[in-house]
Amino acid sequence: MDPLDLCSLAVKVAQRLGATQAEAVALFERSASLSIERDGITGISEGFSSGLAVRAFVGKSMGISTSTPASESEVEKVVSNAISLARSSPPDNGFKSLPEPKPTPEVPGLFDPELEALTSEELIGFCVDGVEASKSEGTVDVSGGATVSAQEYVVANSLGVTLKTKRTWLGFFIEALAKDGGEVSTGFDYFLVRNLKERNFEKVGKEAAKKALKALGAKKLPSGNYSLVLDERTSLSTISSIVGFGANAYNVMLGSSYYIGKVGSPVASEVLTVKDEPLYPNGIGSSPFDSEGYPCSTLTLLENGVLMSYFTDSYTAGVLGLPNTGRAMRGDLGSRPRPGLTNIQIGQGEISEEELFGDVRLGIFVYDSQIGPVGGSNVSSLIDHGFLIEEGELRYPVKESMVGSTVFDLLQSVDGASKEVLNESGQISPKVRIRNVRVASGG
Amino acid sequence: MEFELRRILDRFQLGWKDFADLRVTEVESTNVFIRKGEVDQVVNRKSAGGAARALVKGAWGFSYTTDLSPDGLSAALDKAIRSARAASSNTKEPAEVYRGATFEGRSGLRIRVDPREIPLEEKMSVALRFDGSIRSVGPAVATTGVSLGDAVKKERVANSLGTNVEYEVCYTRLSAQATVKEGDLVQNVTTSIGESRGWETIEGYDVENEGVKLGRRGINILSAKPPPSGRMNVIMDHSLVGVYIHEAFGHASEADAVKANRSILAGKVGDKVGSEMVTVVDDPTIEGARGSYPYDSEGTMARRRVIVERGVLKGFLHSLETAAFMNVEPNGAARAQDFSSKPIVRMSNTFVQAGDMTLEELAELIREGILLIESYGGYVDPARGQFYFTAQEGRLIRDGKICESTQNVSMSGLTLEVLQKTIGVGKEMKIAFPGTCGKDGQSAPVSGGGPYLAVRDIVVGGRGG
Repeated sequence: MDPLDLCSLAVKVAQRLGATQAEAVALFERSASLSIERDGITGISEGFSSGLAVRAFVGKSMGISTSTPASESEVEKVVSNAISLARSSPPDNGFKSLPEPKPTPEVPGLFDPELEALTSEELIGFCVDGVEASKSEGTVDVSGGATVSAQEYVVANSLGVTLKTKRTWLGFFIEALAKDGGEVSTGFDYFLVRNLKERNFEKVGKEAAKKALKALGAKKLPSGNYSLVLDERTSLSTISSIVGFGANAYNVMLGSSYYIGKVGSPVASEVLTVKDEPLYPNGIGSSPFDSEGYPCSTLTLLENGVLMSYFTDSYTAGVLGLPNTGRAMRGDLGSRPRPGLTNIQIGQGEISEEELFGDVRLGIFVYDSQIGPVGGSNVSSLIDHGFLIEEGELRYPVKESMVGSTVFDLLQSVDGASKEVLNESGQISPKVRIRNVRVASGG
Repeated sequence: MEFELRRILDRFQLGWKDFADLRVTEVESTNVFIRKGEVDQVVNRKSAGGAARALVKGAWGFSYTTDLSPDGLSAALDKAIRSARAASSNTKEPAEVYRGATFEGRSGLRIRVDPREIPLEEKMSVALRFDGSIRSVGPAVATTGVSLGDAVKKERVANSLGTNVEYEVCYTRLSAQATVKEGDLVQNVTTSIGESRGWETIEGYDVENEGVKLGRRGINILSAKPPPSGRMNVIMDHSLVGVYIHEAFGHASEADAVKANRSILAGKVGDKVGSEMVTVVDDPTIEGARGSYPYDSEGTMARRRVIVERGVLKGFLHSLETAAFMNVEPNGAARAQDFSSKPIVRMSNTFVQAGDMTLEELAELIREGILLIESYGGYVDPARGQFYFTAQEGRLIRDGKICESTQNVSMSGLTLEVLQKTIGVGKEMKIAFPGTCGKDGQSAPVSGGGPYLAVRDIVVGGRGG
């Protein structure tokens, strides 16, 4: 049965069985993945799976039931189970309504027929190219993997939402390992794209090997205060983990956010402007509608360090009396949707990368890491990969070094961002510099 | 459904070094989630699917399906064989499986009270009482979340060597989180109980008392000092030791990492890697522990494995493939998250064995440092042996005495150094961290624990001077 017909049927059955509102979502996915170990292909996995989840409301009480596989024969059982759970649950007074149907934008480039048609043999060929590119950089041992997936996501609800989106993605990663005597270093690189044309297996192989070879000779540093220069990926993961928790309307609703009451106030350095862009063509986090079927739109989170908005789904918007920003996401098909971010885009800075490093007397270049909050407003993170910077120059790789700060101090201490940005399938970031950060180390 | 997987395997001709297996996994779970005194969601999940693996000319093919008919599984196995053939053209080091052991048997649910028989109202009531008791300690508890989940998994595994097993296991877990807030300071505290048992896990747990304890722990942290920064001596509690040993040593002892040249422990069996005070065990046969199971997802019977004995590395955790690679017997550590996932080498219940010191003696031993309390998780890069883990709170140790509290903080260390730096081992062993381990995109129920452990020169990443 067509996934959209299946979900529409589930909604009708739910209404017949007494649900006052109902939503059905289904995910059909075909995927293939390939694993690489010690420079060779070790195996290929392929499969098709499907799942159906029904959220039924009886008044304000909700029940969720799922089935894997998603099939017509399971619909009646899944729906009646969801309704039975709803009938046993107390009312959730925060619930207002599922979203009503609205026009959704076009987002080009999310589905690539070429990628859907990719054969295992072609994928093997690409991966071999990636491994060979890695080996061409020097003596490294290469592990990694590639996955190609084609998905159809469908959402229907009793208010008339009936939407489907087809998406493809291709991911490839390499972890290269270099050795010098008893010392070991690793280098990691990856891509994640929606279209086959955007692939670059060789670049990933080369970058991973270069990073591993450069990281040999890591030393422990003395503890103290250092400037940090974050590479683009670390800038993105750090800022999105801090802003993504604090500006999440669910955490605001619960009272656990550190940004409660701070919309319109500065929470970060004025260097930082951050938006979430779900409509970016070919974007890896892009979508025309969120997981409840509400249309997606661009949202500015930080503008020159000032918190501009929380991001909401239909439920948190209703509870907080805010507009629905169309950020509903599901951790898995059976989970209740919560607000989540799509493509984070950090605005470019005003200085060159050369200047960003050049002004640092004593610092650490942090790459392929995440400096984020640890259970609250404190930041206490390991620098997974880093280099000491002295007088603007990279000196040697560091190990066993940790950053200690708070979510406010860390982002307010940002004093520069590079003009150059890295755009990875719609996730955009410059390099970012943070002054005077406490670093504990084993030296 | 109840046909023999072996009959399907018999339809296929394999080379003498080749191998195939079939696995059918059915899971039914219920989860109740309470937030801040309200039922947030009640979810029932059912899944059923089959997985086929084939090893042909040294390469693996894996395929999964939700068509559980004999023809559906047969088609999945056919696809796995074709994928393996395709992969074998580019394999550098052909894989093999251990062929010297097969297993046959059935193991049913070993539970006293089936959680599927407990009315939803009772589950909600327990979770709501737990949640309410946490909030009862005061308004500084900004929010709470309580999750009560149970899952029954039934798995059948058969392979071309003759293994044919079927087992059921039940997981029950109750966990709570409290967020406390004062001004811009936000801190989280958590607690949980989780076992491979039925509803009896919950019956034996005093939710009112445990909830109040958790809430008070949170409130206490609000007035605690910022965490210190630098290299220092530490004592870890039972929960922290569980995560510490899991991250610092457990992952590096998973033989798939060793085989892939991604473990700092490769080639070190028989070497002294730690203080003589330290013995590390991973044991999936502990009755009722969260990481326990009778057979792994390759059908190998689970067994206890000693990783480090009195400071000497004794061996690794194995799948059929890694056992063949290292020419040792498999020890039942290949676990798959679900039918669509391949079995990979995982830990189960990992712990440090008890020593002979009291907490006060350990504090006296380290003199200056920090006592780290209750884990909040961690991760490791096993290839380099650099690991990270987080404590929910700390107590400063000055002049051999346990003093005031500090806020949450993370630590890091290097695998090949930390066990050598162990200077004291407590005398009371507890499995205290019923958690979930993530590896290669798969989750597995695990637990960890040990006695109080004193270790010198751990890097503590706080913001204090």
